[in-house]
Amino acid sequence: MPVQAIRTTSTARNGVGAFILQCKRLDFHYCDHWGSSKGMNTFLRSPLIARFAAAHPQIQIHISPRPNTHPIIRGLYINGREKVICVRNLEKEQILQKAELLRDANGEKVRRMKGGRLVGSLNESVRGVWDPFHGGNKEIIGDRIVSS
Amino acid sequence: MAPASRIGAIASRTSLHTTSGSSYTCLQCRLLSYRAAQKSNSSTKHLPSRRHASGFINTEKWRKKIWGSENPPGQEDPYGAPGALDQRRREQGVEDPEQSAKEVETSVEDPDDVEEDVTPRGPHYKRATTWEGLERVGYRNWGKEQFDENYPFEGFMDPKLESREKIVTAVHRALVEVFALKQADFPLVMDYDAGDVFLDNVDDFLLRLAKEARFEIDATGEGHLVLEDQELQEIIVGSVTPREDADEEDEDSEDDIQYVEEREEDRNLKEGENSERLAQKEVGDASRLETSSPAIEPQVVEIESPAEFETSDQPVTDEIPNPSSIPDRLLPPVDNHWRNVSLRNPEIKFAVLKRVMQLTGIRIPDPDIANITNPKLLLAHLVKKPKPKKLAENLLANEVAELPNVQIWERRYTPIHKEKEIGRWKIIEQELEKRGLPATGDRIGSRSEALNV
Repeated sequence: MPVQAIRTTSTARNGVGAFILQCKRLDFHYCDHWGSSKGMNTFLRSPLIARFAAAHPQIQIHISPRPNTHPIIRGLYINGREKVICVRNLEKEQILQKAELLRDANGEKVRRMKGGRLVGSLNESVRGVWDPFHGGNKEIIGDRIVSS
Repeated sequence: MAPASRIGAIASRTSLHTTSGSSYTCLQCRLLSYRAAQKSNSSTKHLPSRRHASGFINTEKWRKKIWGSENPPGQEDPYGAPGALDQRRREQGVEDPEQSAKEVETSVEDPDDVEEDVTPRGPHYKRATTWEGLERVGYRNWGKEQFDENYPFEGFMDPKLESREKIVTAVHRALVEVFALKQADFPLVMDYDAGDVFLDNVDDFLLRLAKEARFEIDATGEGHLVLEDQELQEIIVGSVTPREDADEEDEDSEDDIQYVEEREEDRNLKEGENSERLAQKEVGDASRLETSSPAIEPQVVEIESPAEFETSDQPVTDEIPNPSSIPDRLLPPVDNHWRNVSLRNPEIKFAVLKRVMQLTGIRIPDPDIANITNPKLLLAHLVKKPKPKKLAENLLANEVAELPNVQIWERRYTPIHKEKEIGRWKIIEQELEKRGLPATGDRIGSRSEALNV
């Protein structure tokens, strides 16, 4: 019986294929009475929220009242952290922007990358980020890179 | 004896409150001494006015100087002349000096004391029939004592309708009635409100109006009433116009009184709330019904008997087999054009507004009347906006609620909800109970019980 190669079950896409959205839940809190919730209430009544929720099925959307307080959006992340943005007196478009900001965040504290690094890592490489133009002169022939 | 010296003598007798070494006497003491002087001196006649009674001011001298002559015109003492009350008293012939002194004394007393003296005194007391010449009418709390709980105030308008559906139906009914009167060339505004006296079954009538009365709007925007059969128009017109029997009677005023009485009876029977009052009036009403029923009955039977309903409009009676079982059911008018019928014609507008006010009991402010050009705008004044729904209710009825990743909460999302989701709440609750602590804020009573144990 000839030896068969192991069949590939997934295609490597340089890490992109394994991407998991860090935001797992978004809480939308509003107040029925306070004027600062006007924009939030409009946003929740508008099709924007439905569109946003339909576009991100991996994010759980919680909508609940929080009486007599300003409206907020709270993002919960898979690292266990949460981020809260107060959206008082904002328009519905601005609220959508804030929701997108929370969606794109990874849940980590926002901190500056020191030393002009492009990639942050717990185990930093001494050699830096590899790229195909490392090590000697290269020639590009057609769609291939060939070392000369 | 000069008045000042007399007061001084009395003051010394009654030990007035004078400050040591000064001639100042307090007002209360002066008043006391004044009264004592009045009592002691029986020769003191009627004093027209306190201000000039003492005669300190010699007005005659000043009058002579002002006029520049020995015989100045006018009264001798323009400020000291007897007032209206004194004149009245003189007219009544009060000559008794003691009596007059008592009266003066009471006039000096505190006005509150006078008010408390409810029953009039004196042999010459005559009950006033008008308020002419009276200083005050009644006494303290007189108005409250006149209030009788059995006869509370009733305004000139009927109680307001609360239900939105009833108001809409009333506006539609008013519109149909006015246009029916216009078609029949009757005066649009009736002098009285007949109410539902001429209607045998109001619910049937309203249902028929809702189903069979339609409006057509022509190119100019004017509305025209279209009724399915002529008989309905007769019923409508008959329900608001005076009866033929009433015209034959002698006096219009009597008719009007009768209409009002009939209406009152009708209202009382409908309400059935004030049972005591109803019981009190029952005997009188019964006698009134007996007297008024011969006048009403022929008309009612003539205009719309149940038999006519059955024969003329079979489908309606089929749908409503027992109208009495559904008294509050109101059918919204089938036709929606009636909301846009023009009310720019002032006669129609006035007639409709008056009828609407009669039917609904809601008064429309005059400034708003100018802006009302159709029944839709009229309804905007009559019908309150429905209470805004909560956002959660809206969202639950929305498409968002159907998405699988969306959760909508009607109440606040609390830490307890959070713990329950994780599955930790049961353990927390058990541990809290074990320690006799309240799990939630509403168990303070149970906590105190636990602590006592």
